[in-house]
Amino acid sequence: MERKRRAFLLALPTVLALLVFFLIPMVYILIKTLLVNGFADFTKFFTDPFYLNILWTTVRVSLISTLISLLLGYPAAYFIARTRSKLKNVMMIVILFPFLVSAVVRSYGWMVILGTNGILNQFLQGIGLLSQPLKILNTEAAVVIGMIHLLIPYMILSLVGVLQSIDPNVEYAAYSLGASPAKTFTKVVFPLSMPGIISGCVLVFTMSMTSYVTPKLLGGSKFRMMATMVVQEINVNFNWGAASAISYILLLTILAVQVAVVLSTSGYMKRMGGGKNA
Amino acid sequence: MATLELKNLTKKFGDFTAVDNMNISVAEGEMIALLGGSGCGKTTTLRMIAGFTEPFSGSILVSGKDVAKIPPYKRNIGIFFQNYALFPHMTVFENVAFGLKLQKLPKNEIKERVESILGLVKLTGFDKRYPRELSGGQQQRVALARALVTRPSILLLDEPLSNLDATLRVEMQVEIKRIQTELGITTIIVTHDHEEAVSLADRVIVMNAGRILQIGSPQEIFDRPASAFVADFMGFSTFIHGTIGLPENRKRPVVCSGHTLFVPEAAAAGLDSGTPCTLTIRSENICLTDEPGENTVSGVVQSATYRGHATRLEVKGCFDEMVYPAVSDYTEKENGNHVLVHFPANRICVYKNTMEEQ
Amino acid sequence: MREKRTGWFSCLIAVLVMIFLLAPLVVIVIASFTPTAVVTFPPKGFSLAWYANIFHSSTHFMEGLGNSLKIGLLATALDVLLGVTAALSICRYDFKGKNALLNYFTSPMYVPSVAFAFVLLQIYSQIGGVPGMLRLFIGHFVIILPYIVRNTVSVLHVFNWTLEDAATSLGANPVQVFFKIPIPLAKPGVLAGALLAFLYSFDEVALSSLLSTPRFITLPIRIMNYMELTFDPTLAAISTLLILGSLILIVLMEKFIGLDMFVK
Repeated sequence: MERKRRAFLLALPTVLALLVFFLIPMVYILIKTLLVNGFADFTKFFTDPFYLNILWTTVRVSLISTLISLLLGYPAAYFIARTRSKLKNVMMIVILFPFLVSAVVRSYGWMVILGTNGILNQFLQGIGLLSQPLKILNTEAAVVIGMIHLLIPYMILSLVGVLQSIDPNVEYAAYSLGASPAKTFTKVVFPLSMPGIISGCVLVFTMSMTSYVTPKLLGGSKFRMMATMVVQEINVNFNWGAASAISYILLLTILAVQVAVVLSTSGYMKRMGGGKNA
Repeated sequence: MATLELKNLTKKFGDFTAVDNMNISVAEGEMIALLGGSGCGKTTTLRMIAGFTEPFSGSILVSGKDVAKIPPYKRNIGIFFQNYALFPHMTVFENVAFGLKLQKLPKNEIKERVESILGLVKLTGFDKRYPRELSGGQQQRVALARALVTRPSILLLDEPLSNLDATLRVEMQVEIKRIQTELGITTIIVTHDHEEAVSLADRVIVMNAGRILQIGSPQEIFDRPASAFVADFMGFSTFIHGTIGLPENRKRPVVCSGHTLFVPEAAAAGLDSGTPCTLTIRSENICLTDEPGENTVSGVVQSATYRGHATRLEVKGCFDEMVYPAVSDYTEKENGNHVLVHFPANRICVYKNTMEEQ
Repeated sequence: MREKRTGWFSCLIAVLVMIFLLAPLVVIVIASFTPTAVVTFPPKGFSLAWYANIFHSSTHFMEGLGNSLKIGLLATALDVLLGVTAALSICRYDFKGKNALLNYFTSPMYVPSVAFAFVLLQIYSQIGGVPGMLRLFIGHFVIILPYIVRNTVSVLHVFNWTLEDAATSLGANPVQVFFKIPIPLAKPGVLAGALLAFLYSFDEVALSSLLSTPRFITLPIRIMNYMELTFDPTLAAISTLLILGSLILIVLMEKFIGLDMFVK
């Protein structure tokens, strides 16, 4: 078929570029690692509490960040999607703006705020609430704050997209049938916005799982997540085998989450009309 | 201006034959309607004429010349697309001027021609608007202007009125007819709406499953459909099954559910006595009467729906099938009333039952 | 009267989230003007000294900026070509495996950049002698490609392809059709995608910190290195300039393509 040939030709350069510079290297190194070291590094990862603890920290921070992003992001997104005030455009800019600012810069801002001599401590001590500075920077809490700051725009943007596509008339229909605002929300709006919730959560969770800058800058030298550990194994410990194992385990975890979400929601998405918002 | 001829035109998609050996010839300045339901092959025919898809076999002649070798962008055929297909990133002026700019005409001539065609479709002053800033009817007129401004040899209209509300439809029907007559352009209109076809076209071609079922004047198609299928498509709703008898007094009796209806001999030409057949008659030709007589059967009103210009009744009990008279004067018939229904013989169409109907 | 469609609760949370999002950025901007090495609030005075410090050669910030711009612009330019053709191939033609192909084009998004960086690092060390810029360029062009593909597809998949037929019937040949219809209409998506891709590359740290050589270091890495040695408001000054850059970009975007492009 003529059309098939044209589609093929158009796609060819990109297919080849990704094949040569992405797919083949990824697979080649995986096979090479397994051939040279076998599963030793993988076994070590899953038997050493040190590594398991890093995996657990990563998952924990990601889950907490995702949950708080959703809880804060949902009402904010709802407001942005439904408001008719001029505030809407301003808010969209406020959300997109940090989104376009480097993670290094944003983490730096939190370092200035949360540090031992930081603005927050200066303020709390200034009003006499604290006598000793509070240690927030270089703790897990700082990482979670930085992570939410980094990722909540993604959550809000995917929620706004879905909420905007819900016809406000379905809410009025629910009211007219006697549903209270709370019932309308739980029975109509919330289920309809499920595709956005799922895609937002998956996005925030995976980005948090793989994030490097935020844990490195806000967590301090003793706080480790998967991505920072890979770099540390390479640059500090010179243990490439361990680095390989950690990076492939991270990759598999993320893929597993994605696949699980797709499988468990595909039926739901189909019934919702092809999952066009997914 | 040009003539258009389709000769043995066939289009296949894999095993599926979308257009089956079609033969049509369209005279200069004539307006032809291709009428049929979805999947009947009318749009495929249109796309072959436009050159967007190649025929499997057969040929398309414009003014006697085969256009098979001419790419679509050189055919000079104006097309009005069903959803208008206005370029959303261009103003009304830019949309209409698109074809003229491609012809590299001088700027002032483009301006002149765009302005004059916008005047013709009554959109003077809208040239700086974008399509999304226009109403449906205005968008449609831009689409028409864009298709006409290049002075195409043939104009193709794909479901031109399907997206409009009732008032606008009537207005645009008049408008399209006026412009087409004014420019005298050979036009093919594709539609699934029999009223649209009948009110716009000089000749109507009814299609189904890639084949032509009937070609005729709007009057012929409207009053004397060639088959029960066409009748159904043309909005006939009363269909009565019966068995035809021998001619007597230039009429032939048809026994339907125990009653006998007489039909003109000419209407039943070629039907042997004893043949199972189907009678059909337009609702507005069925009337109510007070006196019993020929072709008059009694029944019971099941429902009456006031339709503004007429009241449409559902009458049970005349035959096994329902009959649907449309009574033009105000009627006080209510559900359960007994009525006498008269079927004027010269208005009845008779068809031999086809295999699947028996 | 206007209908009330949102409650006070969602409004309150929205405002709090906005404050939360802006707070660190505002703090940085104010901090950049403090005269003291330790940032205090309210600042004791006003100084531009830290801005002058950015240009001091020992920070290497300008050199880093140059490297980041080079990599970002080159990778984005290549990916606009690769991404738009890829998106067109998927959206323009109907064939089996379309979705699989789209997933393939966007697959680098699902791979942690640190993992991909490590794979490249091992390949480079096997080949040997790969120059610093090429090391980063390959990594960057792969990880930012999905952004351009996705944004272009999101515009093209709602694209009405009859427009092409319309242009053809009016006398446009296939080349003219291509440049007059899908290209201008896909522009907002391509621009938005290109912008996101460029910023991703410009801000990228994980991949760059593994692959950069001492001779070719990007700006974010320079800033992080500086941070480890000295924690003074020079960081606030360079950060303020980056924030300003983003602000200009977002204003331009709002003006030319609108922000709805980013709502998915």
